[in-house]
Amino acid sequence: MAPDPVLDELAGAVLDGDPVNWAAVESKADATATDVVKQLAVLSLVAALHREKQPAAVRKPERELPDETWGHLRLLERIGRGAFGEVYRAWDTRLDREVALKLLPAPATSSASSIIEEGRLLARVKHPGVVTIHGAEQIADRVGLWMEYIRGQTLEELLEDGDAFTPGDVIQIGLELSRAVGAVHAAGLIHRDIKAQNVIRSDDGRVMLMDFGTGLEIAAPASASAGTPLYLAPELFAGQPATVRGDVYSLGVLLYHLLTGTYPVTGKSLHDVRRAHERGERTSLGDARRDLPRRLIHAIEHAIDPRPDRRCQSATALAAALDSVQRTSRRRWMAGVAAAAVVFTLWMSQPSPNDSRANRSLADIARAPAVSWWARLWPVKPRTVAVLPFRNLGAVAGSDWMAEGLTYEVRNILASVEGLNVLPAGSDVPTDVVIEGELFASEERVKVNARMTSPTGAVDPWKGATFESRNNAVLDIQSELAIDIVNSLRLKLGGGQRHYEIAPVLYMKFLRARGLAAKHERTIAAEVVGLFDEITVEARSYAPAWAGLASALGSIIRLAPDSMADALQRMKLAALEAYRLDPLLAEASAAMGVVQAHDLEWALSEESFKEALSRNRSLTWIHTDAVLHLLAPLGRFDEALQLLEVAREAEPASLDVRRTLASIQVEVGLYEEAIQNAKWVLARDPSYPFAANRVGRALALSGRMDEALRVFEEDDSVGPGYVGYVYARTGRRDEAEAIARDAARIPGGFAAATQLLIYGGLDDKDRAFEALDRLVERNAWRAATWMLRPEVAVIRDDPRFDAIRRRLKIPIPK
Amino acid sequence: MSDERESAAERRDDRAVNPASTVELVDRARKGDQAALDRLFDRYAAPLRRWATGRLPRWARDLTDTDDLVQEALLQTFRKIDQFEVRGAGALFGYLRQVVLNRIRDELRRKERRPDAVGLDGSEKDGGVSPLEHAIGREVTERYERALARLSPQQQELIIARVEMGLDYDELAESLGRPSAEAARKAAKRALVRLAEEMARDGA
Repeated sequence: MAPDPVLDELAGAVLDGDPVNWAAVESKADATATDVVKQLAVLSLVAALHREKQPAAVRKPERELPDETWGHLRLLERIGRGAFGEVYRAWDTRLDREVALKLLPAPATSSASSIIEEGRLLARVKHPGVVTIHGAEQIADRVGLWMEYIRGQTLEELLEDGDAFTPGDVIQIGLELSRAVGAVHAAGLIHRDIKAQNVIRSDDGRVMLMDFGTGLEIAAPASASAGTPLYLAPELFAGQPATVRGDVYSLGVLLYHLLTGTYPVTGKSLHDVRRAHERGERTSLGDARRDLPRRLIHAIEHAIDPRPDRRCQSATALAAALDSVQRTSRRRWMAGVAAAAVVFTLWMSQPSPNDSRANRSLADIARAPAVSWWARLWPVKPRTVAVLPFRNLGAVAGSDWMAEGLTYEVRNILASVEGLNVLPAGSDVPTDVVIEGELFASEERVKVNARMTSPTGAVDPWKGATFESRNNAVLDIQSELAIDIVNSLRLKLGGGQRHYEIAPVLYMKFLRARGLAAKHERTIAAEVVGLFDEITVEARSYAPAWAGLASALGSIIRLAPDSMADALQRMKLAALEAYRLDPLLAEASAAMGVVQAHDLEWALSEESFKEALSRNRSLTWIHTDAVLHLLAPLGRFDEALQLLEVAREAEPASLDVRRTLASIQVEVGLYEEAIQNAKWVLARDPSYPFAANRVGRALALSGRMDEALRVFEEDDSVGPGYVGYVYARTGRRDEAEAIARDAARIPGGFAAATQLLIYGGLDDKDRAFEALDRLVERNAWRAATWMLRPEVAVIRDDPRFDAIRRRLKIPIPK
Repeated sequence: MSDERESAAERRDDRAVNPASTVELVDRARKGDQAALDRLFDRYAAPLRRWATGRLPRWARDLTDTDDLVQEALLQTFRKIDQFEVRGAGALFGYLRQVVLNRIRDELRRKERRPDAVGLDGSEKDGGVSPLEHAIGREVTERYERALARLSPQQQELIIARVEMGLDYDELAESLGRPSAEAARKAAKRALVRLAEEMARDGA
């Protein structure tokens, strides 16, 4: 007996845990199948319940259910209780789905109908950031509102769990939330109760507004005591009716709260808060958090201005302000790099296709929607995608062929994205995502519109964007445009690693380059750069190779005697190209992190490395890059050690990780551990770069000077500075001075660093600072790292030390 | 990528899917090898515990540690291991599940006889509701169990191993002796449709 294809398909989805739109399936099934489909829906719930790790621990069911049912809803558990009603998880027996139900106790008849009326209005608000209301009704003596049930945690719960919100997170949350509130206002409604308890971050990373202040009137006619006083705008205390501006104020307080853990106006009682408002007692955000970007402080302060007429006038205006804050930091840096890159490209007079690509890429990146980094984690459930053929609207010869080719390329690249399941053309299975678009080709250029819809409602639709190419080589256009379209989609969808197809020979070369790069040694680094160069020439759209090139150039800059302006520029270009080709590639973000660190853009660099690590935790060289390029110069050694511990667990056999660990242990005075780790590396590879040096430094710093000297004399890979340091510490002053004097003549320089080390060893503060100044001039990033070395501890307690840290834009701990 | 592979390997290890070595371990355990018994224990305890959390009423989870219950069930089974014919990990799961279910029922009956011991939190009036019953109702849970019992032993095992214990298809294929993951998935799909049909018949 052949299985019914529809049932078979559904059974597969249930077993695999894929989402199914049961209502749609049921409506299509014939009468005999309907019953079986219904049972499959039940089974999908059984399966989902078993899949949850600990259903009981996550949500403790409460047993005091007032009734088993309310209308067609079966109450399952109480999930919240407020002053004016209770919220239940419930089962919709008509549509066989889980819902959240808010039940309000016997109200006066007039307000009951107004709640139902308002519920109906709310049901019309369709916004991804607003919980969808399914319905509102009065049954017997109770009014109920039922809505989409969302698994997740409220922002207040996240705060209580000790989740720190970075300014970047808060900007992102504020942005999504103010857009959601804007949608509510646009529907002619006012929320009236915006607070951290009423915003949920769903398990799949969405920020959603819920629990409208419906029913406030019932609980307390005096509006001031109805909402949450700490979030309430001052004019509402005075008894004025709720307004859009009142919602904006609450939104501002919420963001303030996420950043500080407290509120702009506080008090122990309603009376206290009211009086504080009357007296104008408030703590400005700038006073509470001096370290925040000024533009962010300004945007939030504008939203919580106590004077309603001076306040930010709408949620949409607040969204716009936050959006501009978000774009500024990254874009300002990008613009600088872009300008430098263009100059550099001209200077190098590279072949023409490349420079136009570099220009376009920057514009694209600046336009790309930014999503906070935690939200970019790819959802677990695979999504199905269909790509409809791009329609050709141009009349140029060959443009039909071009549209077909583009469709093919987009499909191909999407198929390489993990978590996406691209269905063959003509398949009539409902998909989560449908991509379609048009192509216009003229003699000079090709324009493509692309957009995304979601028949199953699994993802938010995307109005789409226009992509353009002035390039005339048809094959180039296809792959370039396809990459741009797919990247925009991935940003929109929020993630997905790409798997690249590349010729095996090139891939072998790539692996070899990566392996060598992990050694972080400058002579090897030059070879690595050569290898990556070769790969990028052969496979121009292979983003990992561009990222590898950037990282290898970063090694050269970090280790080479002099900072090399052209290496820095090439590194920037390579990182940007990697990022343009694949903004969701962990290696691309890491490459950006390296570039930003060397530009002394520490905060941006940190964001990039976080992004990289959130996308791929298994690449341990990203951990060591983050440690060496970012955390070490900032002196954040505890975090560095933690990160390296994670890396060591991920790849216990990595020499790079162990050697880096030894380096950081030297910096923090864990000399025995450092020696052990460095020797562990040497036992496996006696010539592994810097391993012997770390042994020597640890020996010298723990006072074992003779042993240290022997190690330094044998290991000639790092110049004479360390030998000079040992002389300085063992009373051989003249010899030490001689090395410092000769340093200027050491081939390739390194003079300033060598002198810093020796003068530090001689406890000669003034000359150490002079050397450090010269180092800042030559290579600011290296100066930031070296000035923290225990060998030069003598410079620490001097005002000049902090002055240099400030010059290097490094935040100074209190 | 590499850490996905690792975690998949770990999972596999946890879920006791290497049928050859399961059979081998049971064999050694029968001959009184304590180490083999310990390893069997390690393999089956975690998924069963997870499963049992979804099947125990809350008070039972509070009062009787889930661990105890699962542990006792495992002990009871392995003590009689010489009577048990091991066809594969799936079969052992099905068997263990039944033992745990029986123990839960025993436990419930025992509590009902001694009403003073029921619900220290004072909120229990009935015999206790498991999260599963809570979600789909007792009636539907019972219908599910009845329908499951009417399937062939092979199909029961497929459902239990995939839907309840969460084995992946490779594991399913190995433990139930199917030639490939795809074959196992096909068989599981058929079993699920059968189960839904049985449930529909019962409900009508």
